[in-house]
Amino acid sequence: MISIDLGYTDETDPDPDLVQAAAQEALSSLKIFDFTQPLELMDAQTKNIYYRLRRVALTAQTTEFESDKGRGDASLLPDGKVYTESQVIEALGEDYAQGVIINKRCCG
Amino acid sequence: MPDFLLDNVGLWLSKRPETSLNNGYTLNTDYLKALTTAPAFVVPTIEFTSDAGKPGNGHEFPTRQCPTYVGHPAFSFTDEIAVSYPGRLLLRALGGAVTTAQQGGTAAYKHSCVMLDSLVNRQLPSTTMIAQLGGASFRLDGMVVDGYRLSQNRADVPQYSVDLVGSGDFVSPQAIGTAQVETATAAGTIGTPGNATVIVTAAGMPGSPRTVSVAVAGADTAATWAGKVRTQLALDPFVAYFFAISGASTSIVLTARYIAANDTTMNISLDNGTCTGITPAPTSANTTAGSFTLPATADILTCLDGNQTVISWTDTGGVQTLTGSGCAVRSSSIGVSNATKLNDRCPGDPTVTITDPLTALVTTPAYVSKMRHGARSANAQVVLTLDATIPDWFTYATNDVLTDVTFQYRGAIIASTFRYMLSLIMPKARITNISTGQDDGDATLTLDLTAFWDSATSTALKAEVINTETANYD
Repeated sequence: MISIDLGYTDETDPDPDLVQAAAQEALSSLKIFDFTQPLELMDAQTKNIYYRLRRVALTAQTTEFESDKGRGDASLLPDGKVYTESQVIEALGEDYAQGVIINKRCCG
Repeated sequence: MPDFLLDNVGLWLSKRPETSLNNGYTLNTDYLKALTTAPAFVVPTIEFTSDAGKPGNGHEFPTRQCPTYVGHPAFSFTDEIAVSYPGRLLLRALGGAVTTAQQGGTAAYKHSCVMLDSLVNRQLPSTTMIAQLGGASFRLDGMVVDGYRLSQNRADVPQYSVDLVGSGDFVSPQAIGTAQVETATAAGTIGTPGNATVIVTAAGMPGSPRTVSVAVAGADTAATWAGKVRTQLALDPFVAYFFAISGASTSIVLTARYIAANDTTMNISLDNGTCTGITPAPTSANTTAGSFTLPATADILTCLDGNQTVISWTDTGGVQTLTGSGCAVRSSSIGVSNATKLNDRCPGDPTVTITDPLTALVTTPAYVSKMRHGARSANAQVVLTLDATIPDWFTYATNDVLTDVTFQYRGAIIASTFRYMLSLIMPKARITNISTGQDDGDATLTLDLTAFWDSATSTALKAEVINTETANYD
């Protein structure tokens, strides 16, 4: 259940800007990343997140043993799954917060 | 004597991997014609043992020689990348089970596989290959991919090269199609003894038209002297290597040993030489028309575009795309080496029977029943122009792991955003060396990448092909 605080009471008319901002915020929390689709159909942001999520999975530590660090965890692979934005943030942490597209080569 | 241009060699590869090693395909519809920029033809080699140098012979020279095994035939294809047979060989190079998936409901299909799990099986999928140039006509069974490489220089059309190596099993001449059969019918009883004159004509036969004299005796009936003609033709080296001679009674039947299109000039002429009594028969009957049914053209119509190549990986910094408007990539290559285990010989290995058509001498060398891969490796190389910063050197120097290292060679759009494509992907890799160099005077860095084993996807390399083949692409 999603509640949207529109910032007004029954006694006053809603501020259209507030309504739009609140709606966008609510939609943002509903943002999903569909990794069931072929890679070729993903937009640039989704593709970047896909590759970052795969990196998290491929380099994950599967057991408590230090020697298993980086061996990878197939259960974390995003392939064939649908993620919400919050799930992506949970998986990527700061990488997502800092922006999903970092290209060392920049602009060519 | 006819001679042949090397470029005229005919090469065919089986559409699908053999159902088991050395189980060669026998139908024309099982094959695709293949091209290569480095033409060659194949003649199997036989390995022998001898007693050369053995103490006790009184000298160092051999006195006996015994055939043992057929040597491993090898053939390399090098050409522009295409999404037909080069893609199939790419999938066979890795050897895992191929998955085919329609892409976004369009006409595009993606065929992908990972490397064969060596803990389950080390026998890579095998290919049947036919090579034909003149008399060198061989069907080679049990050819496995020993190495496969995709490469590109600047934005030239991407290239592939594949090295095939075989078990030694072969069939010669290759027998797909219909062999032409000519039949002459003898008539007349010999009056004056002497020689009959038989003239055999065929477009590809050395020495054609070949005149053979056959000694006949007085009162020989047609069936009797026809038998003498058959015997004499079977002893003639020109005729016997080109035709199998058969027939009964008055029939003299010549069956071409090599499959070829129908030759309207092929003929057996019977006439009196110094003898009398033969009813001249200048024209033989074309009992069975020859028919060459292997595909005549190679499916290479879909070209890949050099400017569409994508090389990318993900490192700690995120997704890095090396190709693009910066024109930094001067060349690239990625490949797999299967280190096929040769001479994997065992008691009980099967044999191939080789019979000389003229002398009837027979040998039965063996061939191997296993062509397992050895210690495989997958490597890549990218040559980049030197920039004002060198992020890749830091990636290398800090031993950062790369994930999803992708070399994607692409062509025209099939539908939506799906393009014809061949790609090799290292799920996990590292830059193992960086060296300096130059490309046409421009300073460059050469990055050597090595694929690492990825436990999550159970492979070190993944292959993908996108085309419009809906099924049975493996």
